[in-house]
Amino acid sequence: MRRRRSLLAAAAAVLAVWAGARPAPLRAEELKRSALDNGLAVISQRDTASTLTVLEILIRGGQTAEPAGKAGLSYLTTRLAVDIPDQDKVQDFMAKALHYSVSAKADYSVIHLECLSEFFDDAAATFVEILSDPLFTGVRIDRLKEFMDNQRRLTADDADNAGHAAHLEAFFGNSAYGHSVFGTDDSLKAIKAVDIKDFYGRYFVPGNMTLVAVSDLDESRLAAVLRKRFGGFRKGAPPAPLPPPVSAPANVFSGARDIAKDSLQTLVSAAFALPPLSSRTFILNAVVENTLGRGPGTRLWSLRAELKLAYAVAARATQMKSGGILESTLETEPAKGEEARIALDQALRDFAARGLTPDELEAARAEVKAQLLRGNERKDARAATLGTLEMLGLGAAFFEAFPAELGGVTLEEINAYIKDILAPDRASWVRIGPKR
Amino acid sequence: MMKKAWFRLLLLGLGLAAARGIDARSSAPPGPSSAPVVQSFTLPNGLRVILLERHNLPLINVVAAVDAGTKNETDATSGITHFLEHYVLFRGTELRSGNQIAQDIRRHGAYFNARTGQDLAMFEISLPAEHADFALRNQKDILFNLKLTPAELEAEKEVILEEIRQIEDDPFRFGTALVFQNLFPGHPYQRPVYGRVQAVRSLTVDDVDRFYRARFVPSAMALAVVGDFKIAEMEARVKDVFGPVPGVPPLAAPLPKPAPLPKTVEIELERDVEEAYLVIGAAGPDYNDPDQYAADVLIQALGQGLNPMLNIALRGGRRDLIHSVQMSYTALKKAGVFIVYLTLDPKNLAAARKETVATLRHVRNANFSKEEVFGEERRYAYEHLESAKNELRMAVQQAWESGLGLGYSLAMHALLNESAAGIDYLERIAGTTAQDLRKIGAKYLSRNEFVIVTVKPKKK
Repeated sequence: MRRRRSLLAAAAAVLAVWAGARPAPLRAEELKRSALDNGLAVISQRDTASTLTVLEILIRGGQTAEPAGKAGLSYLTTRLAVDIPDQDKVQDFMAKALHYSVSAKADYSVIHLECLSEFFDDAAATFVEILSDPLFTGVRIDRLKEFMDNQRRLTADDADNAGHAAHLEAFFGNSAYGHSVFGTDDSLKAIKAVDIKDFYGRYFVPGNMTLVAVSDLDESRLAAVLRKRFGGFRKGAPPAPLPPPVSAPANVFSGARDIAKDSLQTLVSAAFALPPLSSRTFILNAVVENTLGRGPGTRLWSLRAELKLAYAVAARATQMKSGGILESTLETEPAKGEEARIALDQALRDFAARGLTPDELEAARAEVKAQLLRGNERKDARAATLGTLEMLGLGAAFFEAFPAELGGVTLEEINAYIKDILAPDRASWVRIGPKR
Repeated sequence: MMKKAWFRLLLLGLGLAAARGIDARSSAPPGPSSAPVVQSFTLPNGLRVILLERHNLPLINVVAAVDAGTKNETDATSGITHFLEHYVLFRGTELRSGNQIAQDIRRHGAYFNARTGQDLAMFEISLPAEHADFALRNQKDILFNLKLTPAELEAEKEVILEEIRQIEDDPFRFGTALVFQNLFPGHPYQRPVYGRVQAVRSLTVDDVDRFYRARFVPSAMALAVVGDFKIAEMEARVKDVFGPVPGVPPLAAPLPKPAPLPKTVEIELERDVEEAYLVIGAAGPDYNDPDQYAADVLIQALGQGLNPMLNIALRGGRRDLIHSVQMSYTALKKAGVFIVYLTLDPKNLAAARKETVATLRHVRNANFSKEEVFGEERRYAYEHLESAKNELRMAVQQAWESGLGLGYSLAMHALLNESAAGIDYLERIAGTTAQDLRKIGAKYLSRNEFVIVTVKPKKK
C-alpha cells in the first residue's frame, strides 16, 4: 500500500531535479554529539537527502525500570507523556502532518517524531509543552490500557510474534525481558495513576534521556531549535535511579512449548540464549544471524529450496543489554510439522558443529556491511539505529566503527562463539499450529 | 537508438522541464557533491532504461519491471507470473544453478528480491556500488537465460503452496486478496496473484516456458538503475550488458476496464484469532486517470495520518468502535482499488461495518476544510484537506530517501504510464480542492458497491 505513494513521490522527485529545483548535496555528514544546558544529550547528523527532520527522544529504563507486578508501565507512561491534551494541538499537528509514535523496549522507551523540516521548530515547541506537563487522567489511562490489551491480542494472532514472545518468556521468565511491553491483564490492573506519575518523575529527566536528530537543517539551525525547545525541559530534576540489573538468560534452559492454533500452517521455532551485549557480541550476533537465515544461500535456506518445507525460513537475533535470543523459525503445513522440526534441529546442530567456512564468513561480512548501509538509508531508520546503539550502551559512534570492527572478526572467533551459543541442549522450542 | 525519447516525452509533457528550457544533463553535471541527474533511453531491442544518479550512499539499485501479471493469465495459468517470479530468482539459469546465484548474491553483499502484481512483475537487486557490473549481469542472466527443469519446477510448486497457506493465515493479507478477487468479476484482475492451488499444481515446464518466452522480452520490460555512479559510464555499461539481448516484439495484450461490481459482496471468515479484522474495498481510478491525484488526497483525509475522518467517525466522541483504521489506494493499469483496514473488538463488527460504509458513502457531502464550516463550528472542525496535502509532501520526501524505492517506482511508471500529457504530481496535489474530493467520493464511494471481508474469531 505504500508502493503507490512512493511511485508518485518518485515521479515528483525526479521532476523536481529535471526542473532545476535541486536539493543540496546528497551526503549524510558525520555524527555530532553535544549536550543542552539541562544535561540532555544530543546526537545529530545532517543529511540533505530530503527536507525532513527525524527526532528520537530516548528514555533509559524501559521494562527494566518497571517495578515487580507493573509490567507495561514503561509503555503506558511514555505513551501518556505525549498524549495530545486538546483539540487545538491535534489540529496543529494534523496541519503540520507531524508523524509521531511511541514504543517501549526492554532497556529504554522511545518517542519518534518526523515532519517536514519547515515545521520542525513549531512542532517541537508544542511537543515539549505536552511532554513537560502530561495528563495522567483516569479516562486516558483506561483508554490506553484497552489499547494495550488490543495490542496483546494482535500479537497472539500472529504466529511469528507469539513464538517470539514464548521464547522470551522461556528464557527470561518473570524478569523484565520475559514479558510483553504491553503488560498482562493483572499487571495493567495493578498500575495506578500514581505509578505512572512516579515513573515519569523518576525517568523522564534530562540526565536519563537522549535526543537523536537527523535533519537537512544546517547544524547551527538544528542546534538552536533543540536548545530553545528542549533546553529548559525539567531543568534541575534529580538524576534517575539506575534500573535493577536483569539476570542473564537462563542459559541452561531446554524445553518445548506447544501452542494450539487452528491455522493452515504450523510455526516451528528454536531459540538460543545470547550473552549480555557488548560491541563484540553485537557484531558476532549479526554475522551468525546473517549466515544462518537471512535469505538465499544461508544455512536455513535449504529447508525451503531443497526440502520444500516452507516459504518463510529466517533467523533473528534480539539483542538487549543483559542478554538476548537467537531464533530460527519456519512455517510449514501441519502435516510436515514434525519433519520440519527434525530438519531445523539438524541444520542447527550442523551449524554448531561445523561453524562457518572461510567463504561464508567473507560473504557474511559483505552482506552485513551492505545491509548496514541499505537498512539505514532512510532517516527514520538511521535515527532509530543510532538511538538503539546509544541506549544499549554501545554508543551511537559505534555505527561508524561497525564496518571496521566487522572486518576484524576471525573464523576461529566466530566458530567458537557459534559452538558456545548454539549448544543443542540449551534450545527453547516452540510449535504453534493445529493440535497433533 | 531512441535516446531519451519516451522518458523525455514524459517529462517534457509534465510541463516543467519544457517550460523552463532545462536539460538535465547540462543543468546538473554529475559528481560526488552534485545534485542527482536523470537519463533515459531505449535500446534497439526495446528495453526502456532510466538512470538516476545520486550519491548519498555508495550503493546501486537495479530494478527490472516486466509487463506480466495476473492480467496476462487465464484460469488454467493462474499464478504463472508469480511462479516465474520465484523460479527466476531462485532456480537457476543456463549459466548458473540456483545455489550458485545465491552464493554470488551473498558474496557481493546484495539484497535480492522480486514481487508480482496484477500488472507487473518486478525484480530488484541492491548492493555496494563497486559491484555495479555484477548487478547488471546478474539481472540479465536471471531474466533472459532461464533454465526450466521438471525437478526444479516441482520443488518450487511446493514452496508456493506453503506461501499460499501463509497468506490465508494472515487476516489482512487474505482479506486484501479476497477484495481483489471479488471486486472485478470476470476480469483478469480477479485472479489471485499467488495463483489458484489447482492451477499451480498443474503447471508444466511447457506452460511456464511458453509464458516466459512470450513475456520476458526486452520490449516488454523497463530497467531502472539508481545510485552512486556516473551517468555516462552507467549508460555505456547498460548498453554493453543488455544491448546484445535479442529483440522480440511484445505480445499485444488488450486489457479492458473491469465492469462495475453489480452488488455488494460480503465474505465472512472464521479464524483462530482473538481480534476481529474488517477489510472493505471499492473500485477507484486507474493509473492513468486524472482522478488519481484527488484519490491520493482523499485516502489521506479519510484514513491516514494523525486523526483521519474515519478515525473520528469510528472512535470520536463516546463511540469507540475500533482499535485501528487505515486506508489505502492502489492504482492498476485499468482499475484502482480503495481499501479500508480495521481492527476491532468482535462485538463491534456490525456497528463498525455500518458506520464505515456510511462514512464512505457520505464523502460526497463531507466537509474537508475549516473554510467550509461556518460559525462556532469552525473552531471545532478539522483541516483535513491541508493536512492531507502536507502528508503527501512528506511522502515525496520519504520516497526520495530510498534508492531502491525510487528504482522500483521509475521502472513501474515506465510500463504503466500511458499519458503523453504527463503529470506534475505536487502541483496537482496542491491544486486539489475539497470539491474535487467530494466529486471522486460521489463517483467511486457513493455509487460503487463494496467488497466487505470480515475475519472474526471462531466460536469456541
